[in-house]
Amino acid sequence: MNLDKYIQIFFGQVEEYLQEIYQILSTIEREGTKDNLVNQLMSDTHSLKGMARTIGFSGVEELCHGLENVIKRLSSQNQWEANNILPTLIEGFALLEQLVENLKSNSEEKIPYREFLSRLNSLPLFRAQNEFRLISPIDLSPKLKNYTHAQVRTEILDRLLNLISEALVFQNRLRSISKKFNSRELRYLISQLNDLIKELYLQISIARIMPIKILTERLSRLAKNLAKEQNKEIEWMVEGEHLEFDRGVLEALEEPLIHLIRNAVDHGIEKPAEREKKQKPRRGKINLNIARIKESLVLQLEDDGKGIDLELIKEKALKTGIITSEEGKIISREEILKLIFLPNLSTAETVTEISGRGQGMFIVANKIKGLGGSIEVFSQKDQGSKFQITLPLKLYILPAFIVRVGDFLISLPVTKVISSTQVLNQKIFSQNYGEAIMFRNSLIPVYSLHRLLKIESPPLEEKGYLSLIIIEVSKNQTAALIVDNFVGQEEIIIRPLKPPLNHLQAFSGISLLEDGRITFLLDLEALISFSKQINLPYLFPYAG
Amino acid sequence: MNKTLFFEINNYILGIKLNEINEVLENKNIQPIPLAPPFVVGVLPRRGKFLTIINLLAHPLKDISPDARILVLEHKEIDIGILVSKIRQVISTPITLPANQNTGFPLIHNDEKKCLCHHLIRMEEGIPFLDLEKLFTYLKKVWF
Repeated sequence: MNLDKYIQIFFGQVEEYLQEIYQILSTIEREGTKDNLVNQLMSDTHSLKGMARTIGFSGVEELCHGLENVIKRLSSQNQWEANNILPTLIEGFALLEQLVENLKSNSEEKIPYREFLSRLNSLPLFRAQNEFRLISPIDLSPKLKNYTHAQVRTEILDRLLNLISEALVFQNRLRSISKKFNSRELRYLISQLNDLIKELYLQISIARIMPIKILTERLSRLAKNLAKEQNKEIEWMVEGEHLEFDRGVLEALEEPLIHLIRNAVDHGIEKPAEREKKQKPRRGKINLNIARIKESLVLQLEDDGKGIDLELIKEKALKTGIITSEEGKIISREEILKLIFLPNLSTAETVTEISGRGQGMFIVANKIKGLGGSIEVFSQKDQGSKFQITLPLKLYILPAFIVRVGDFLISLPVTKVISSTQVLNQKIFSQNYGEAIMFRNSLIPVYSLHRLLKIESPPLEEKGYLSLIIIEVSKNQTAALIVDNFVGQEEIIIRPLKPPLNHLQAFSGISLLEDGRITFLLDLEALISFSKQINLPYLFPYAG
Repeated sequence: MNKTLFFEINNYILGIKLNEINEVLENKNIQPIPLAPPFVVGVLPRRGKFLTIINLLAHPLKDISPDARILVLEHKEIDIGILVSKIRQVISTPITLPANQNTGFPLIHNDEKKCLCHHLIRMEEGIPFLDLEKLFTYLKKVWF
């Protein structure tokens, strides 16, 4: 793995952390120790240690570890003690700064940090105050020229990204128009403009990168607080929190993860006494594992609680009419688990402040789909549950297949499109639960996008042929969609649906095409579940 | 002194505080949205974002003229545009409108899902103002 980029980011972050650390030390010296200052100091040092460990800078990691032990002494309320620890800390952080400078410049200069650490172990921690110069704010403030990073408000980055996205669309339109003119110079200029805009887009995308730790720290506090409120004990573990992603991805993930954690604590992890009866450790485990696999972000949230009660879900689904009794007889385990992502299917006996209303998992799934991702659930009774979220990292640019339905342009991710074809309308025939067609020796359901989207369609008799697009609705589930015609394929910049558009259940995103027209990214599964045409067996592999 | 923008929707005149308006746009490039409620005219691409445009009456704006404009309003971080027949003028309020001006807001339809009812306005010194809080509360109730 090429760490160069991360090493540069590390150097930048060290500067920021050290700036904050020096300010804290200066404040402690002037105003005395306060819990929040010491906690922040510990947190910053711990973060530096973690980052150094990830990059493989063991010297930095070791030095941070030693400094953490010193900071722990600082949490004493004794100001005299604090004043005598401060010089040691200042010396230590100065050494840290020199060590990082060395690494940055590949210098051979020896930094005596090991000697410093040895002294920490063998000598009294306290030094006489007159051994070191008293710190003044001026001494501690880093030199301006050392700043190689600047903080930019995220709303400014968002706005830049929006403007660049729109510039890209106009650039594409310019290119389309330029085809009418036979000018090599014009084509060249447009090509240069294209490269420039794409580079700007890339640089702004890079500027939006943030460490996922900012999110996981919040989630950690949430999980522990929730458990405490419910008199439950948990052990919270995170793997992969050193990774960094686009701010938009992290923001979008926050709500679904919060909900999943609430569910894990509220409905998953049992109370200690109950766990002991089941011969489980008193403390329940909740693990969050984050990984980057090729072009995807994969998150797994796993608990060792009581698992999802499949029988209860099935019972609720039968009761609410989501499945019929015949369907209930043949439905598989995996299919039952998928039902939890439908609305109004909470099996919670009580609605707590935390969860249980039946909308949460549906909203989670919708949110993930809105980002072009997927969510899966695995669960075993009394062993726990695992949710796996997979998100594409290139959130914004999606190769899309565009179709026309009435006056609307609808997009589908190219990866979901199996085939597009034209068939005689006689090839479609009625089944008990709707219409179907034979495709590659299997019977697959046919849906009219006109009907689902409540758009007027031309009468079937007038058209000898129907335009069909065969798509993968979800794993192992294929369907055919009747559309007016195929418009083409285009790389589109998808924007998530923000309020109030986020209440359009049928769509997971919106985009502007090269010609300035708007297209909506279809979420077929959500659309079908909301339409009156829903016939659940057609979402399952059809045996026949 | 407060400044109020007066706008016309068909034959009705309403006011809105100037500081409640983000922007005024021309009525063009609005594209319809499938499955949206009837009072949603469509969506307008605007600087990389997509603005939802709504119609405050149950029926389409009669004879949409070139004078029609979109008032862009923001409330609690949600942006919407309302389509109006005409922008009248900006006046420092309070004022009194001429007696022969029809300042009522019509109750068009009993079906709440199809119309935005007249109780979205508040009267302030004899002038009907579009009440943003009521408008967004209503939209949240029926749509989002």
